[in-house]
Amino acid sequence: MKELFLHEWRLSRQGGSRFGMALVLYFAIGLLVSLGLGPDRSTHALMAPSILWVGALLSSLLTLDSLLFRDHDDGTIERLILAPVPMETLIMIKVLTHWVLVALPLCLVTPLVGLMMNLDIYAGMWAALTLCIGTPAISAIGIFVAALTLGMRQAHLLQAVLIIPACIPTLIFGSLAASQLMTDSPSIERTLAALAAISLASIGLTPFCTSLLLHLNSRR
Amino acid sequence: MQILNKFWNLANPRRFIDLVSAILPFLSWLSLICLIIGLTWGFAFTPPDYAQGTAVKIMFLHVPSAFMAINIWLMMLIASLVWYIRRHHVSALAARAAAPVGAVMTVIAIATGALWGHPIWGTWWAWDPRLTSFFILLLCYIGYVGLWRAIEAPVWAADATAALCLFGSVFALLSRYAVNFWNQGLHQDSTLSLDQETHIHNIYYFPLLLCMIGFAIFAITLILYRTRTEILKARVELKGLTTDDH
Repeated sequence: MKELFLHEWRLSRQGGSRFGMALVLYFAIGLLVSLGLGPDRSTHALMAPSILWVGALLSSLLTLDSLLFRDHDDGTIERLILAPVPMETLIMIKVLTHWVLVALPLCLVTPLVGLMMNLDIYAGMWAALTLCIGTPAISAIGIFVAALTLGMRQAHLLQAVLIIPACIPTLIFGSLAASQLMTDSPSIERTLAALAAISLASIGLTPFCTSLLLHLNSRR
Repeated sequence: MQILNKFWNLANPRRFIDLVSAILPFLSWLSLICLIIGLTWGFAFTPPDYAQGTAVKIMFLHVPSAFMAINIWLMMLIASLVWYIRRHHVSALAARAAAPVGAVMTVIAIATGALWGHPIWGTWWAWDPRLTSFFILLLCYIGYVGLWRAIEAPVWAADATAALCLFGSVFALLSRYAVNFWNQGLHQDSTLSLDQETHIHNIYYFPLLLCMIGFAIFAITLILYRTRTEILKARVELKGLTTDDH
């Protein structure tokens, strides 16, 4: 397991540009939106939670390809299916690696991007916390969508159409939680619980769906 | 049990085509008659609503199409499950054939809803739970059709789309309740039921019922036609026939 994690780690170092791209895109979204919104600083802070969430979502979508495509192209998936470890575990590790490599850096820089949008550093940290809770769902859904579009050449458009409906609940609860944390809303516990529930359910279920798909895919 | 066995017999494409070819003309005429009578009755012979005026009459298109949009997805869900469990090709092809019909029904429901919402609510669109879930349903339909078209290998395409169908159902439901959290909704609750007190008036109820039956039979007819075409197409591709050597 550790080896697979390291394998993924090394792969991402080789094709490191993609993961850097996600960060750059995140910063670019923060920068462009705060410039586009004009000089009124109070609206910035009001909209910041939603924009941080949308930005993080879009940036992590960019890296979907790297989840399975390379493994599919060089035949690693067949080897993984034959591996003595259950496929579900391997997929879980892949989700974990993706989260650590893509989503975690996004969460870490969130206070900085927040600063650009006139969000004070504590509020930015709260937003980062909600991102930490919610983004595992995105990684998990992402690997399922990547498995669906496996082996296609021009998969980006289809991936976007497939993943957007699946990410809507996470986005709704995530940005709601972020803005509620900033305003000390009483219903914050409920929202955070719902966000965590979506994350946990996605992590729990998608490895099984994905491994089923990969098995079926390898059989054709 | 007898009926169930008869139903599973339809997994044989030959029997399916025989049965479908026998009942299709009947179904086509039935849906045509129901729709003509129902829509004419609804549009021309019902009084305007006391609050909404004539705008209420768009209900005769809106409600049946929304009803079919959901039910066709449900039918695809069942067909996908049958494909996963029993691997009947007819079932996968039926799900494939149903998707565009469902997508069109969703578009009709959204478009008529917008036309109805503009005079009554004062807005074409709102992020209301029902509206949002229909938007997501439309995205699911588009993704489903897109996936079928994008994958070449037929069996893998059936597997992937069936998985998407199951997955999409979960998220369409989830999104609906998620939106409920921050928005109580503009759309009224359903007033169409068999047993409740608050019920739509009979003047509207009977033509609406006829329209719904008409839409349902119409959708079934289209799906059966399309399924038959899909089976024949699959057979042609299997035999490697082209148009010149019949």
